[in-house]
Amino acid sequence: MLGGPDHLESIAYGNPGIWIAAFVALGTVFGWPAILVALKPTFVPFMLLGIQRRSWWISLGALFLLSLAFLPLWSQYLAVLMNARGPLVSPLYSLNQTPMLLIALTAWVCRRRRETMPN
Amino acid sequence: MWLQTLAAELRITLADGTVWSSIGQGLLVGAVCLLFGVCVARFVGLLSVDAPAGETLAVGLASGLLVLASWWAAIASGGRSSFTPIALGFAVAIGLAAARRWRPATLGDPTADDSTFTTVTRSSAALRRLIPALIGGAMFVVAVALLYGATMAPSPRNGVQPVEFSDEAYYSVLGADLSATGTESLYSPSGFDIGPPPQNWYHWGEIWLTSAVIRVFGADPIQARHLSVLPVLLLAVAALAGTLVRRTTRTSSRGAFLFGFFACIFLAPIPVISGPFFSTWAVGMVFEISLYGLAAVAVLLGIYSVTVLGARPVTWALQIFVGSVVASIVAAHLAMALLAAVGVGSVWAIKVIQSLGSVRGLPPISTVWRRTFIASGIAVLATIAWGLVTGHGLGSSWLSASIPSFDVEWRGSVLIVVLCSGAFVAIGIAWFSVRREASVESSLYLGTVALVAIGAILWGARLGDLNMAHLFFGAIAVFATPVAAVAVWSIWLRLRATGHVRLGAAMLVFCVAQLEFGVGLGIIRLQVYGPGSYPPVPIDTLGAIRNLPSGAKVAYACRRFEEAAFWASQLASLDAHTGRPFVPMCFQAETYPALFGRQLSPDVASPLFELAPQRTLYIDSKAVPSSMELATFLKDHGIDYIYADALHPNSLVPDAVPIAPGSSILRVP
Repeated sequence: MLGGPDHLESIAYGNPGIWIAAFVALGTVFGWPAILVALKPTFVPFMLLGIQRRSWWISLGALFLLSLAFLPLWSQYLAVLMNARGPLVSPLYSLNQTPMLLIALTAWVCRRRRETMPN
Repeated sequence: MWLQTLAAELRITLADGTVWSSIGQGLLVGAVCLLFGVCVARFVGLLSVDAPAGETLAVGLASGLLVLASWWAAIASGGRSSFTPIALGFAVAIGLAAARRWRPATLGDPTADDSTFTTVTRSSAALRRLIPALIGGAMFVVAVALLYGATMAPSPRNGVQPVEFSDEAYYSVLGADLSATGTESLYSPSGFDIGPPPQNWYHWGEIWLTSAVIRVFGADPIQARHLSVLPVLLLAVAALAGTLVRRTTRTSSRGAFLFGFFACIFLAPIPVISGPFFSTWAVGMVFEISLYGLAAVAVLLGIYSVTVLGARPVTWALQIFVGSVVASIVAAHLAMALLAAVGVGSVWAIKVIQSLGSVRGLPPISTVWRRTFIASGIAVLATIAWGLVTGHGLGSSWLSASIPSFDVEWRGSVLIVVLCSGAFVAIGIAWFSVRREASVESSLYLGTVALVAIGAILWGARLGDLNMAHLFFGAIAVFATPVAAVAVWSIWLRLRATGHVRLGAAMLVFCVAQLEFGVGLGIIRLQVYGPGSYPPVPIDTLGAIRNLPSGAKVAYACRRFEEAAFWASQLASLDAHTGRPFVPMCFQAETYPALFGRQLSPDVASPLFELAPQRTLYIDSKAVPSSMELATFLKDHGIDYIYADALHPNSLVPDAVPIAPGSSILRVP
């Protein structure tokens, strides 16, 4: 999965996609870091990974409160989004980076259940 | 750019008072259909009083839409509509239910409904449960109407009206024409009397509903269709899909309902591989509702009926009601009816073969299914027979000689759609899990796979006919999408039950990601089917056209590759806004092969041009009729005016004079 040309490019340029891949990986283990996937909204569905944990909901609230502190910047963010031009402006913008997120997801799905010690 | 356009259009839509008026009319239509439909569906025994709120909303709204649309069609057409036998069927079902319900107590059915007190208590409890669903449904209708207003049905701005995409305008004009004439003719916007056949099979269901809104409220045809009718239909279809997910997977989860609801609207194959035009054509119901409308409602209500019939009392009232629902698919969209027949036929063929192999006889059929088949069979045959008696023909099915069957573009399109189908693969996986069960669920998966596959083959076999694409893409949108949602949830429940929660969660995340991509693709498709092909028209010009005498027709000099069909003018938008037919005058060359990447020839006439009265003037691409011949033709067909703008200068009758200084409307001397 890492071998794809888009992925090598993402790593070489330090594209935020690699951060999101890291958050997804952490989210599979701890739950709450998946909230940080929201930094790249086109990947929002991957944010749901830890939804069943309380820590995820607490992080969601914390992220919301943190976002309020940057309220004036949100209008700038929307303006930038609206003014985006060019061939990359498409609903499928992040699609080619999705396999990179599946790396951690695949490992998580295939992980064997750890043997628990009897009481 | 698409986001910026959407935001800008949304601002204009929100500021338009007529938009809110149309949304209010849509909410009123939805409320009436829901109230009436809940009463009818409960009365005939299709809907339980204890049904969850989402199910009550879905089945009630769908039943109301189908019954009222068919009754309106039967009455407004004077009985000439193909919906007339269906309207009769619904009336008979309700009559039988009334006779059964109100027969003297001594003759009463011991299993009939319980005491009045209990019923009232249960009804009020159900009503309380329904309130959040009603509020959510109303908000959904408003949001969808605004989305359609910001894309397919734009509001005027700065003194000009954007010219809507011809298909959307054409369907709206059909609504206005139905309201005026009651004749189901797809040629009516052409400005000519074309026939035989005098009427056509078409997707009249939502068009009849539009005509009702136009007649009752005097609404603008484009707003009536896009802001009042389609959002309510989309709510019914999405709520039915959510209900199907819950019913089929036997869960009461709200998450299951919401997943089915949104999957139905946005789920679609994601074209990650670039390919031919049709490889990117599949899109969610958010757009496809404009093509399949009431047929999608009828199909999903039919599937719902199949899932609940086994748990309902066996009464002729219910069976005739379900039979009428099934028959309404025929009148609402022939292609969907054919697909439904393929799905049901495939399942039964396999069951018969299995039964012959195991017990050397036909499979046993319980009373409820025997009666349902009889009622459905009679209703379908009556609909077809009545359609033929009232002169319904196919009308728009023409074959292009330029496109061979099973062309390489077809192979590429089907292959890419299948490879990029993502969550749709769940249908096959879920079927494998339940293949040994004799359940509705396994039949649903099997029938869906069969009808999509056969739909693709039939499309390929008659690739030169544009309408045949509905057999593949309609199969995906109307049948496969809700069934895929059922399959995904079924797999999730199985994985969770067997301790594979992580795999299930990963699958759900993947499906939600596909839904997210589907949202963007759906909105872009809505924008593609919005204005953009022509510069906006001044409101004053529309006013001038509207002030022409009643029955006036307007011709314009079209360009060779401009028109797709002579009855659906590219300037149909002007007709929709003014009520005056626009008649394209030119040799109409074939444009359909362009969708297959073919080089177009200006000398090859469109097969749809065969029937055009204009053909007498434009026999071939070299024909240049004189202004005298043109003036005579226009006068002979009651066309007294010519529309001229920068793209369509008056090359028809040079001595035509503007009706006012500087006007775009000229009078033929």
